[in-house]
Amino acid sequence: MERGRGPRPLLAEQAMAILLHGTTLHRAERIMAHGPDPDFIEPGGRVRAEGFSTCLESGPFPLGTPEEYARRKATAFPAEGGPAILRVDVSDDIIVFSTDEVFFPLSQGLVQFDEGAGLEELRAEWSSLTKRIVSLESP
Amino acid sequence: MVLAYEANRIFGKSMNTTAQLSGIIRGVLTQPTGGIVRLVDNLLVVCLEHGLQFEWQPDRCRFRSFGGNWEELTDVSIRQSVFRAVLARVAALCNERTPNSVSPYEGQGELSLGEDSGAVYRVTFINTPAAQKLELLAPAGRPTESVQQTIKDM
Repeated sequence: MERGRGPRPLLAEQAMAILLHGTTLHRAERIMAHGPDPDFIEPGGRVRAEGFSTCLESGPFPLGTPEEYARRKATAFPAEGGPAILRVDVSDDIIVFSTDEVFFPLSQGLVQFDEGAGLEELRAEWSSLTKRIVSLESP
Repeated sequence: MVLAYEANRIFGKSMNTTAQLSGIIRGVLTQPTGGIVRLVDNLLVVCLEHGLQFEWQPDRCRFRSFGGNWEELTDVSIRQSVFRAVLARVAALCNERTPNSVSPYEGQGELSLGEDSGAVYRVTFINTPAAQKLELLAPAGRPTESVQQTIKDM
């Protein structure tokens, strides 16, 4: 499905959104350093990640909060440094490539980067994006 | 606010044929009008109204009325991220009803349609990179008037 394609806004008009991704500390560090990896496979797994799921910092969080995901993921993978939130400032002109008003309208707080739908654009700009890791208390 | 999957339309057609019901469910899953949130709401409404047991995996989607035969839904093809978001929404609804009752990645629990409707569903799900599955069992019997009103008010 073709999504979010349209004219890119001028740099001067760019607005930014803070996106959150709840995961383990080790994975957050890896993503922060190298960008979201669609070929990432969880320990013991066989399937590629394919995409990168994030949510707007402002919410809402209809699928649960990134903190919940981070804590559950850290519980499932206790050797990965504990729960953490990766915060990334992403410009709207990148987010627009991921926008899917049918399944993931921004009003529901979900920003899903899939292959062919924003992930390549996000990876291309990754090194220039402002990023920060917030460690959480272990569950 | 009116539920995206028109409640009146559902309640007005309680005698749908299997083919019609397949078309309704297919439309709910593949052509939602309000994102993942409404997709799940509408799926719950359809299952409640028609007393359905619903099972969904990446390569298989089927439903049946209580005590009836399974009907396979063909041509329900959505990308993995959408399916995983649906499963995540189901987990979130379980935790809204009973905090920390399920993990986002796997669980067995209950969820309700609206806070006060009294309509309680049983669900089992898996939501990992390697496996995705949803089993949804709607409460038996035709929805009470209060449940119908809850749906219309959503």
